[in-house]
Amino acid sequence: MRKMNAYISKCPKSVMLLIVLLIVVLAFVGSRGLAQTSEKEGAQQISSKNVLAAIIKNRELFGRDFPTALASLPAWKRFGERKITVFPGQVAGSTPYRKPKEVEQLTPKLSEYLKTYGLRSAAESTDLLKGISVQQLQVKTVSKFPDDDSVRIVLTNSSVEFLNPKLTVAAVIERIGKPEKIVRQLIQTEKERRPIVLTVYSYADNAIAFAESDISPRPGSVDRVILDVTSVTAALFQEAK
Amino acid sequence: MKMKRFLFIQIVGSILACCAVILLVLPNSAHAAATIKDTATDATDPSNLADTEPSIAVSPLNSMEIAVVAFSENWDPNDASVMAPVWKSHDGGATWVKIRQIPRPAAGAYGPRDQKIAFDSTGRLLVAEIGGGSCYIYRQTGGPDDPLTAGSAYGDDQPHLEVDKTGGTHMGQAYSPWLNYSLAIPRSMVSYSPDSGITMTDVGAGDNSTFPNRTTRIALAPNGNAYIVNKTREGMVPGVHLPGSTNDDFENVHFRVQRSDNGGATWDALGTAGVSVHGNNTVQTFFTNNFGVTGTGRKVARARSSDAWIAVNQSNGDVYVAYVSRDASTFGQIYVAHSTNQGLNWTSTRITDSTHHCAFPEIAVAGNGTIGVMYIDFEDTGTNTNFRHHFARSFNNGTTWTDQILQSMDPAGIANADSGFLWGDYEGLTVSGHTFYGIFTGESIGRTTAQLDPIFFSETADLLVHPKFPYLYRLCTIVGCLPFKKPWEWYVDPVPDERFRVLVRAGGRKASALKSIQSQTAALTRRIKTASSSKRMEIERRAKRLLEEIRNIGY
Repeated sequence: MRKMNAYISKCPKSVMLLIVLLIVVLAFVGSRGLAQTSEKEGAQQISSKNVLAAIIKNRELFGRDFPTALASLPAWKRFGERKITVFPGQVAGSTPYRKPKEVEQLTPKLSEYLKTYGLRSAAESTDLLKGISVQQLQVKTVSKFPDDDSVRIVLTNSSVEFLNPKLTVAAVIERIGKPEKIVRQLIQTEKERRPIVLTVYSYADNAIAFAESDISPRPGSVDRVILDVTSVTAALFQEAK
Repeated sequence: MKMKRFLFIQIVGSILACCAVILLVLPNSAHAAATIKDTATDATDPSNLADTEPSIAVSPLNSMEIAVVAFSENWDPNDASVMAPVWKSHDGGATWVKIRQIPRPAAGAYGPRDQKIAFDSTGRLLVAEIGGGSCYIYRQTGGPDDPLTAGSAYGDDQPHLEVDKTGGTHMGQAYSPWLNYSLAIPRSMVSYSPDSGITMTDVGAGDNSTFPNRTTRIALAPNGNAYIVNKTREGMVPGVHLPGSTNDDFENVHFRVQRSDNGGATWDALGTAGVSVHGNNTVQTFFTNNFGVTGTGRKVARARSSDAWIAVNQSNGDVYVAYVSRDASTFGQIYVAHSTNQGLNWTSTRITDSTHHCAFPEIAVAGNGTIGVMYIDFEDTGTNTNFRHHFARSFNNGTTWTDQILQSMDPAGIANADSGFLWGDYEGLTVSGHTFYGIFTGESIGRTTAQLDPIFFSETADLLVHPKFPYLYRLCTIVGCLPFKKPWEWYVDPVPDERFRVLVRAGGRKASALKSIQSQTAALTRRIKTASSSKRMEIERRAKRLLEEIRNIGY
């Protein structure tokens, strides 16, 4: 330490000045960089939001009742689900429960949220959700969810068509471009039966994903759409005051 | 200078001559290798599916007829006309077609989720399937390729299947072991059906009084008695990990055999708890989703009920169990337990060499007593994991084993190989006559896109390579010849290979050429008994040329 002090004291003033100047420059560049990063992130968020809005408004990608599934998002958010999965005939929560008893007290809550959680559409989504009511949806319990034999809470109705049953991954890519990420996801269970493998094609910073299932009878078809509840809700709705 | 060149030519010539002699005299490992064939092609598997967890059956009426099921395609739960396939070969495994004949068992039931295939004594196909949340046995009610018909719903998890072909009291009885997961302590069950799955009776078989059961496999004896092996899971082994894993990857178990002498009505012929094949002490086996090396860029397999299999010698009723035991070597190893008194007492021998972790054993025993075991180990190269499918045979009742690697595969670069479920929980091995037939999920062969496919193999149960006369021996196993035993301590069935017979039956130029080879082979086998040692070498060379001729004919 002493040696170091002696060395510093021996250093010519010009050198010291140069070092200080260098530190200042570095700090400036660094802060600019940080600022640029946050600007970039902000831009990316806006861009993701736009991409998401464009995707969910694309009527060719979804079934006629997809807007109803979107309209249920605020209730799911209130219910505490981070992701929901939209199948052709049902919207499923992502939380797996072990026993039907666990969900007995939860299903009335979701029904209540569906009825009472009045939210207005965001301006840009008004057309999409115009005249849509979630009242037609029923909250049900699936005792053996196909993915993992868990108990799940779903919204359904005998006549709904949330997804276009003929939609393929190739058609999705043709219409909205290449996904940002493709991930194969194996759903391991406690049992020894064949685990389901999903190939998940994500868009808009994971806000929406189209998934192909290896249990599907038609390879390449879209089995489900996974929505990030917070992101999609934010893109669609304004919190009611 | 000329002298030097002459010397050089002489030396090289001598070396080459020596090599030729050695090649002729030494056992030829190439001839000992199994026949391996990718059942899928770009045309039959255009979607590049993973084809995991395969099982195999060979028709008892004609060993050319082989059927395989794997997770190749699915039925449509909402459309009965979209069916799951059965892979079929009509030529002993040389070529394969995909026949869509497994419809949904019930409206809305997705699948297949687990499956096992078998033939009954009349050559009719049966398949056990999980569809939706239940199991079903499908039976053949029309032609061989017509849609199969699902029976009653039964069971829960991992159904297996065997059919009584003995001609005894329970002839035609179908047995399907499965795991009852709905109980607080899961139990091995066996459902039986006298009518190929139309009616099913569920019977509790495993001892779950204290510990949960798992891994239930079945085999039938020639007298109609039925055997199952299962494990009682008696607690994880703390602090023992597979490479790179931080989980406890092993558990303490007993592998127990239980017997039913009454067509599956009860499973207490060896006591309600059965008999542990390795004695009173527990053994350690895999219970893990990390079989392999856990690490960046590496893929691993699930090995939770991939540690036991059972077979019965159909000639003498001896019972064999292949099981996993992590022994003093610290590696999970494959052991084979043998019982000569219907499961009362067992003697175990290790068949692997203590240098790698091994699991996923399947065992079959040929009528001549040859034991075949397929299993998987893995090799850590430091950066890659090579999973290797092995096939080991013992021609002396388990005293020594001849092991070959069927395929070595690093799944890291294979897109449809999903870490956590690479080939499934089990694969397929069976035997017909003197030939083993197997199916495993391995790396594709000759496909445009590298992927997982069902890989078929066949291997003789005869001691193929005679130490001195490998070519003549191989020739005899194909064309048939007079049986000759000592002084060479080997024996060849005088019945020609099935494919050879088919070609001869087909007639034409090929048939007459093959018949000529057959008669020449018979002459060689007669001559070799009395020939001098130099003449024997000449006979062996002649046999090699005949083998080449057979191949040229298109055998």
